[in-house]
Amino acid sequence: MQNLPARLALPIKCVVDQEGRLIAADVAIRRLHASNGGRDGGVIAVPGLLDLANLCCQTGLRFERYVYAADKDHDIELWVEAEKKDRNVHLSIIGWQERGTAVLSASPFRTRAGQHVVRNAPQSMQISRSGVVLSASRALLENFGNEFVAYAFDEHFDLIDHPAGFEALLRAPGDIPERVRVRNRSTDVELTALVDLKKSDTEPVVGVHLVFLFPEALPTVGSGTNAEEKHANAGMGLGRHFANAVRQPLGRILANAETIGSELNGPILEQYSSYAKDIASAAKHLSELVGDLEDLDAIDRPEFKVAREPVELGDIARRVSGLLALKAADHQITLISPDEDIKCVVVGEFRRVLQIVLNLVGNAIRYSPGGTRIQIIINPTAATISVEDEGPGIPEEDRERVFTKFERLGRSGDGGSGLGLYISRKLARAMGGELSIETGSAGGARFTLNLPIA
Amino acid sequence: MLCDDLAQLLFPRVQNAPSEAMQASVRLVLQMLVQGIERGLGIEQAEVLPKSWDILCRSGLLREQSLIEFALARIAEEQISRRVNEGRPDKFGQIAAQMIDSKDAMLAQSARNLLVAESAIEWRTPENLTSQMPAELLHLLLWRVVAVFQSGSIGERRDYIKAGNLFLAAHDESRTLSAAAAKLAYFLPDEVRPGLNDPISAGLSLYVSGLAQEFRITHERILRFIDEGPVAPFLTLLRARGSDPKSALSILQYLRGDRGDDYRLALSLEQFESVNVDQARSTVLQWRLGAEATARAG
Repeated sequence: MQNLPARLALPIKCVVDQEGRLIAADVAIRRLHASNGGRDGGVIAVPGLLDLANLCCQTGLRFERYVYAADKDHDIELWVEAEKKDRNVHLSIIGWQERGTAVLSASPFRTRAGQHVVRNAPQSMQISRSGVVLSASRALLENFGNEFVAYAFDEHFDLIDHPAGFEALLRAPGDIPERVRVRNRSTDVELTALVDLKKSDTEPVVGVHLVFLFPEALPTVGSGTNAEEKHANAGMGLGRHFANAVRQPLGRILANAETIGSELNGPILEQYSSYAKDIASAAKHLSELVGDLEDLDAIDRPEFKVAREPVELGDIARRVSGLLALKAADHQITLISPDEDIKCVVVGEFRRVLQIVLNLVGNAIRYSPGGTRIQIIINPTAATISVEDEGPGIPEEDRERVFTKFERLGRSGDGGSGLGLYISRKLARAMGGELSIETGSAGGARFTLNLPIA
Repeated sequence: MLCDDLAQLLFPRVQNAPSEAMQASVRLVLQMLVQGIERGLGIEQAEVLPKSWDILCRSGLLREQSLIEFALARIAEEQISRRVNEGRPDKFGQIAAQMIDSKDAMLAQSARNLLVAESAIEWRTPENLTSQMPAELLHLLLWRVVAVFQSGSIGERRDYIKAGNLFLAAHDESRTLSAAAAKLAYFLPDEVRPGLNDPISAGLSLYVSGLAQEFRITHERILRFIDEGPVAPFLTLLRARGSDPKSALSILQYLRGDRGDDYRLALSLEQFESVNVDQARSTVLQWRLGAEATARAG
C-alpha cells in the first residue's frame, strides 16, 4: 500500500528551525531536500513541508497533514505529523507513497504559429469542440459574470465577423481564423482574441483556447457603455437580450426560494415553507419559459440554421431515458427505451434532436396518469423516433393546434409554456424532417419525429 | 453590515453577488462558530447572539476568506448530506464501517474518527461545528474572540488567554470530518481504493477526500463544486478521473439530486463525452494553479 522504496523505514523524521532551515533529517528527507534544490543547512526546499513547518511554528499546534512533493521524475504523497518542541518543529513522515508521474501535468500550449501562449493568461477562455465554454479566467468572469461557463459560447457571445457563430466555425476547423472579434451580449463589450486550436494526434480540433488581447482595455460592466442603447441601435432580436437580462435575477429568486423552502436557516412556519416552494416552482417555470422564448426568438430569425451531422436515434433515446427516468419514477410512470441493439442514424443537429425528444418525453410525463407507461420507439426503416404514452390522448380536431404558439388546449398550472411543441416542430422542419401526432396503440398520444436518413 | 462585507470579500467586482439567503446562512455558521468558541472559553451565553459578535463584525475581524470558505463548505455539505441521507437509515459509508475492524490500528482509528465525526455533524450545535475547524482556522478565530474579551470592552475581566490556550490544547484536528476522511483515504489499502470512486460505498466525506487528494484541491472547494452552480465543474472532475457518462450521471443525480434543467444537463453530458481525460485534467490543473496563485497573493 505504501509503495515505499524498500530501503526506507517509517517514520522518517526531520527537524526544522524557526527560520525554516533543515537542521536535522533522516537520509530520505535529505535526499528529497537536495533533489528539490536545497542545500545543507538551508531552508527546507520541499514547499509542502516548509508550509507545514511554518504553520506549526506560528500556531504552536500539532498538525497531521497530507503533503505533496516532487522528486525528480515522480511525485510523492506524504502523510506528515508536525509538532513544535522547544523552538523547533519536528516533522514525522508516517506515510510515503510514490506516483510514477504527476497526476495533473501541464502540457505546453502552442498556437498554430508556434509561439507559446501563457496557460494562465489573464484573459482567456477554453471552449470545447462542440462550442461549450469549459472555463474562463478570473478577469473575464469578473467582467461578464459567470453565467456563460458551462453554456454554449454562442448563447452569450457573438463572433462579429462570423454571424453563424462559433459552433458553426468549429465544424470547419481549417477555416478558423487566427484571431476573432468577440462581442459579449449582456454587456456589448467587444474584444479581440487569439485563437489557439487544441489538437490531438487523431483529431484536427479537440477544443479552442481564446486568449484575449489588450486586457487593459477590458472595461468594467456599466462603466461608460450604454448597453441598452446599443441593443436598440443594433436592431437585434429582443429575445436574446431579454433572456440574458432576466435569467440571472430569476436564478437568484429560484436559489433564494429553494434555500428558504429547505429551511436551511432553521425551522419556519409550514405555510411559509410552502410559499417558498411555490415561489421556487414559479421561478423554475418562468426560467423554462425564458429558455423557450429565447429559442423562439432564435428559430424565427431568417438566419437561423441547424447543423447537419449524423445523429444516432438509439443513443438519443437512451440519453433521454437516463435523464428523465427519475422524474418518471416520481410520477409512478415507467419509461421504456428501445433495446440497445436498435440503431438508426439520421441527419440533423444532435442537440436539437435531443431537445425535441426531451420535450416530447417531458410532456408525456407531465400529462400521463400514474401507473402508466411511456415508450420511446425507433423505426430504423422509416428513420423515426416516437414517444407514445397511455394518457388520455389528444382529440383529432386539436392535433394541429398543439403545434401552434402558446396553445395549451385549455390546460393551466402544469408548468408548461405552450411553446415546446411549436419550437420542436420548427426545429424538426429546419432539419428537413417533420414532427407529427397520431393515436397510440393504447389510446394515448403518439408523437413521431422523422428526419432524413444518413 | 456583515453581509455587505461578505459580498465585497467574496465577489469584489462580480455581477452575481451571493444571494441574501446564502449570506444569511454564512452569517449563521459564523455566529455558531463564535458561539462555540465563547462557550469553550467559559463565557456565559444568555443571548441569542454571541457576546463578541457586534465587535467582531464592526471591526472586520470576520472578514477572512478562509473563514467564509469554511462556512460555505459547511453549507454545501449540509445540503448534499440532506439530499443523500434522505430515507437512508444506513447513511454511513460502507468503507469506514468495514475499516473499523482492520488489523492496522491506524486504519481502524481513522475509520473510527471518521464515523464519530460523521455522527457529530448530524447535531449542528456550536460546539460540534467549532470542533470541525482546521486547527489554524480555529487558532485564527479563537484569538480574535479572545482579543475582544481581553480588551475589556465586554464581559468580566478574566484571563481569557489562559482559557484560549486550554481550548486550543483540547482541540484535536484529526477528529474533524475532513481530516479523518483525508487520513483514511490516504492509508486505504489498494484493494479497497476503487470504492473511493463510488459516493455510496465511500460516504460523502471519504468520497470528497478521494477527489481532493487525487486533484490536490481542498475538501472545501470540492464540496462547493458538487453543490453550487452549474454542473460543468463537477463533471469536469469526474471526467478527469476517467468516469464514463453513465456513472457520471448516476453520481450527479445521487449527490446533486434532480434539480437541474434536463436540457442543460443533457448538453453537459454530451460535452462530457467530447472532452478527453487529458483535457479535463488540464482544466482541473488550471483551477488549482489559479487557486494557489490567489492564495499566494493573499
